[in-house]
This record gives sequence, structure tokens and C-alpha cells, in this order.
Amino acid sequence: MAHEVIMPKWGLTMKEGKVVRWLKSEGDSVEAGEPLFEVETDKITNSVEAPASGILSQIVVPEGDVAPVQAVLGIIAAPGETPESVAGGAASSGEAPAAEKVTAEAAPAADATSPTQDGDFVRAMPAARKLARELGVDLAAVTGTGPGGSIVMKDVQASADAEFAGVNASPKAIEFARKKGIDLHQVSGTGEGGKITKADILRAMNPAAEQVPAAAQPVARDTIIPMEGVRQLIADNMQASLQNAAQLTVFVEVDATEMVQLRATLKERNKRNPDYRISYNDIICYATCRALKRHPIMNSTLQEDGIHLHDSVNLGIAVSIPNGLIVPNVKNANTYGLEELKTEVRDVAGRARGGGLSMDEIAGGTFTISNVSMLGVDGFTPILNPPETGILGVGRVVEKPAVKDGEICIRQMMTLSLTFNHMTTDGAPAMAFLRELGDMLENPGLMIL
Amino acid sequence: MSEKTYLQALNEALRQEMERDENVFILGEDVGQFGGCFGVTQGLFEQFGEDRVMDTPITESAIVGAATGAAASGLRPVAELMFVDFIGVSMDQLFNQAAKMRFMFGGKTTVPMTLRMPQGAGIGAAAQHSQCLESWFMNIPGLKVAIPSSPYDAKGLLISAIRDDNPVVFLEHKLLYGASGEVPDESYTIEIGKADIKREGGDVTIVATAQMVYAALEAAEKLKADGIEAEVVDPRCLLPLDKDTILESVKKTHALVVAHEAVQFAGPGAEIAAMVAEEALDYLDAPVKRVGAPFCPVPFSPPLEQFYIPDADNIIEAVKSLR
Repeated sequence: MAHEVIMPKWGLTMKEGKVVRWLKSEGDSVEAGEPLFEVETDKITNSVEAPASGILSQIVVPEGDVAPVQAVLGIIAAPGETPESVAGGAASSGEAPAAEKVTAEAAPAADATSPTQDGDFVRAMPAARKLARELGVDLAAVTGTGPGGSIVMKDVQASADAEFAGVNASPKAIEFARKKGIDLHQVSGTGEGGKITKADILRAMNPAAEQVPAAAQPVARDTIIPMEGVRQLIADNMQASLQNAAQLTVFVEVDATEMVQLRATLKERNKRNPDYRISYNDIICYATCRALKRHPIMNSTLQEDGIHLHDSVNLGIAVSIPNGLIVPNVKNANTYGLEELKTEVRDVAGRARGGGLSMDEIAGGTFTISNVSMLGVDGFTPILNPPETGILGVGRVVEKPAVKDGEICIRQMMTLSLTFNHMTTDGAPAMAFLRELGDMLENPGLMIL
Repeated sequence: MSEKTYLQALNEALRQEMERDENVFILGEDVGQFGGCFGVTQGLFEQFGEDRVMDTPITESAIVGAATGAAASGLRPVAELMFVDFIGVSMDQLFNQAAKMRFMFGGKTTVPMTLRMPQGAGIGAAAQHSQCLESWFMNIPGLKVAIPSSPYDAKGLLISAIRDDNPVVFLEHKLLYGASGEVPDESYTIEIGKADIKREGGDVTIVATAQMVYAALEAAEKLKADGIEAEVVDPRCLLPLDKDTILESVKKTHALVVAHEAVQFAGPGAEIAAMVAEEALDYLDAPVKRVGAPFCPVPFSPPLEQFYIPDADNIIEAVKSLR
């Protein structure tokens, strides 16, 4: 029997993927489970394993083409089967534009509720059909053992179990992977004896790839938001952060009057450009990069082989999104001037909200800034973004009575909160960093040193 | 609590309700001094006299009509037809009068009558005295239909039927009169429209009524040897039908067989199968199977009559066809 090779669906928001590379050529023999092709999505690039053993008789979607999820990408024929018998008109349609062909073949398979498969009705009991939908099992590939060869629940279950045969994962993780349509062969386990846990799957999924439906179940009058998707991911990460680091937060109140003046000056210089915008956050990001270069221990990550001091500052920016929080980072942020850095920060933050971040932009940060000034808050205790050593919390700029040169006057004041990992460094270096950053913001001229 | 027959349970229910409420009276053919064709009213004439245990002429339309009128005027008649097969001549009194009055008079009157009717094959009484007609009554809004299988259910349901303010068609299978079981001596009621699980099991639901409950229990014991645990659900009443209990069971077992002695075509099983298909289709892991009598009059020839009546083997065959 011929097997269709389809575009996998990794996560709920994945609509299409690009076939980056075929690892086999037409006519090659393939073994079930060996890597067959590579797919790139807007989140991730990964290889996909052959669903069955046989001969790769036809590549429907060539390298470089984009296809919707569930679309047929190729055909694996059993040895001895001729390509003509596999897909109607497959051999002669080589001239046809691939995109058209994909659309035509993908249509029936994309509709999960459609009872047809290649035009043939698959006989299955309603409960088996429902179970297949829940477990993501393709009924066409299931052998029925019920009355008259009809597919019954135990056939579907057996087929689903076979898919996970040899996978070292907890039953909960398998259940979860089924629901999310995740291929567990692509997930590395961190549990006991390398066992894959639910947390591993969540880590493997892009946090932005989930849109949690706000389905409220009326149980005992409480509205229940299920712990899944981004919510669960954040919960796991936050808990892991607190469990795996000795976190200490220190505060400093900064007289930001000069920083406010600097921003006003820059705006005045650019007043002919109506699109020109610069924020306190941009100035703080810039100052932070300078301060980090002077205190390398704060631009470090704690890894298995020790504390890594990083040459470049990959500056993470915490961005609030409708259903959670995401921290993209600007690579080599220390190499940019203020204007360039401003553009880079806006770019990643904008895409964090609108979608389109690459996996690379979420990983590899060395220090994070979490700005809560727009919420009208002063100090707080940010939670580290592991394995980073520091995270800076930025409070609002607010007019307050202060003492300047022995006189009480009104100044623009701002609170900075620095959480650091006491496993990596100690209070004095962290506080020295925070003081230096505060000095720069109180007196921006210090940044040029 | 003591061991009683189905017939004794019914007799006890009638006696206790007549002692409790002087508005309760009995009418029917030979229900008085003779004690009823099958003996259900034995001893009641002696205890309550001819005013409350009334022999009628052989005219079913008069029996049902008189009961309807008496009920509408405030009494609680328990009418008996000798065989359900005779309901035909009194159908207008039942479905156009008794079943309609409460609705058409805007609730100003109620019709608290009970109509007891033996039914079923198995005693060589031929085509006009052996039918199971429960599905006729299931199609008439305004009626309630009780069809108890055990002595315990028979007593509790008959007392509930007598106390109910609506006309209740009370169907007694002739072959069950001798069935025995534990029955409390005191008066008690069973909610009309509440099914009973006669046997629990996780592999297939068998919904069965009247003497088919016993066939289903026998089938379940034999199926157990093959590793199949059947759940036997006895609706006890067909109108109103306890859908929840049936659906709950099907959701557990994912398979349904409905067994009744009535003719299979358009029998009560048709309604139950359709209801499950409508409300729990995607819980079904096999087609719904019905076990009922073939579509023909009940044969007089004893071997043919035995062939006609569904039995445990038919139910076993139906269950196995699902697997």
C-alpha cells in the first residue's frame, strides 16, 4: 500500500511549511523512521521522518516550495508497486505547477471531518471516528477488525499506540503530544532516564505558537482557564527559574531628570521628522549595554560546565502579549548606537506582538530588561530568564520632591530593580553594576566613557 | 420482605391502595367473584364488596369509557382488560378521551385511571390473545406506559400508577405472573419513568423489557463465559422513557442491543435506537442491534410460537454480531 508523506502540523498556529531539503531522491528506498525531509516554519526548522518503509516514488512538493499543513508532499510506494498505481496521474503531472497540484491533493486531507480518503469512504464506527479525531489518527491507515471489517475503537487505539512505540515518554506526555500533534521523536527528554515529560514537549514548542482559547467551563460557578499552551509554558519556566537559581533583588532610586532632558533634546533635534520616536526605554537599553560591558559578570549565563561570560550583549526585551509574555532578544546589542538599537528593539518587540519571531530570536539572550513603567509601577522583583544572571526591572518616571544641592526641589525620579543569580555572582558586583547604570542615567555623559 | 410472585405483588398493591384510598376501585370482566382471568384480583371482591370490585359486561369500550369518566369525576379506577389484544374496540376512549382531557380542558380536570392489560405470547393463545402492543401507546402524548418485569417493580409501579393523576397503561406479561422475587410487605412506590439496571457490565448494553429482561440476564450469564460483560437495563416504563440511564450505559459500553417481544419493526426498540443515535452517536462503537419478534401474527402452532418469541440465544447472537 502506498503511503502519503504529509506536511506535519507542529502547534496550533502552524498553517504552512517550507520544504527546505529532501534527504532522499525519487526512487530511493526509505525506512520508516529515518529522516526524509526538512521543513522550515516561521518558528522552527526540523527534519521529518518517513511515515513508512518503501520506495520514495514521487516528490510532489520540490525543495524550496511552501505547502499547507496536511498537504501531500510525496508518495512512498511499497516495493514492486508502480508509481502510476500510487497516485492518479502522478507520473504525467510532473509538468504541472507543483503549487496547484498540492492544493488539489491537500483539499480532502485538510478537512479533518471529511469521511473520504482519496475518494474512498473509510468504514468506521462513530465512536472510532471520534477517537481517531481526538488522537489524530488517519483512519485510512487503520485496519478494521469490527463487524464487516469496519474500524472500531480498539483498532484506532492500537494504531495510535503503534505511533508511539519505542518512545520513552510518560503516558501524560504521550497524551499531550497526541492532542498537540507533536512528533515525540523530535523531542529530547530530560526526565528520569531521558524520559520525555510534558514540560519537555512544552519547551520544544514555540511559546508564541499557541493561542489558548479562552474556553470557560462552568464548573461550580468558577471560570477555569486551562493550564495549557503559553500559560503552562510560563508557569513551568517561572517555577523552574525560581527553583534553579538563588534570586536576590536590589533597588535603586535614580534621579532621571537628566535622562528626561536627553530625550527632550533628541526629540527637539528631530522635530522635522513626525515619525521620530525615542523612549526612556531606548536610553535605558543603551545605558544597560554600556554598564554590562563594564561589569562582565552581569552579562553571563550559568551553564553545566560553568559560568559563561559573553563578549556580546544579547539584550532580551520582555514583551507582554495578549495571552502571556515573550522575551525576544537583540543580538550584539552592545555594538549599536542609540538610534540603531532603538530600531532593533522596536523590531523584535513589534514581531513579538504580531508574530514572526524566529526560534533564534527567542533563544540565546544574555541579559533581560523588563519595563513596567507604562503600568505606573515603581519597584518589583523580576524573575530571572534562565540561564541569565541578571534581569533589570524598570519603573515609571515620576515627579517627586527630592534633595538636590542641599535644596528640596521637584525631580524626575525612577526606581530600578535588579534581580541577580546569587549562585553566579555576589551582592557587591551586582550592586556595583546597578549603581553604575544609575549613575549613567543620572548623568548621561558618563555613557561615553 | 418475603418471596412473592408477580401476581401476588400486584394483588397486594391493589389491596393496599384500596385500603388506603376509598376512591380506588376495580372494574373489568370477571374481576369480582371469579378473581380475574389470571387471578390478579383474587380476594378483593370479598374484602371490598361489589361496589369497589365491579364485574362488567363483555364490552371493553364500556370498561375504558366508564373508567375515563369516573377518573374525570374524581375517582381512581383500576380497569382491567382480559387481554391487551382487545384494546382495539376501546381505543377511542383511551387515546381520544382519557389521554386528551387534561390538555384540552386546560388542566381543569385530571384522569387518574390505571388500565391493566396482560399481554404477550407463550401460552398457546393464538394471534388474537398473544400480542405485545406497547409501541401503540408510546405514540400517544397524555398516556404513561409501565411494563414491569419483576414482582418488586410490579408492586411499586402499580401503586405509583394508581396515585398518578394521568392515565397509566399498565402492561403485564402473562408469563411473568408466576415469576417470584423479594417484595416488601409494606406499601412503596417506584418513580414512573425511572429505569433500573438489572445487571452491571462494561462491554455491551442490553435494554430489555418485561420477560425479555430474564432472557437478557440469561444471555448475559452465557456471554460472561466468552469474556463479555453485558449490562442489562430495564426501562420499566416506556413513556416517559428514562433516556439518561440508557445513554449513560451506552456511553460506558459503546454498544447497544435492544430486546423486546413486540414485533421488531416499529417496535419500542426503534425509538430507543433512534434516541441513542441522535444523542450519543459518537459513543457507539458498533451498529445498534434490535431483537424482536418477526413481522407476522403470533403463530398458534406451539413450535412456531416458540420460534416466534425472542430468547436468550437471539440476544447472544445479536451481541456477538457486534464484535
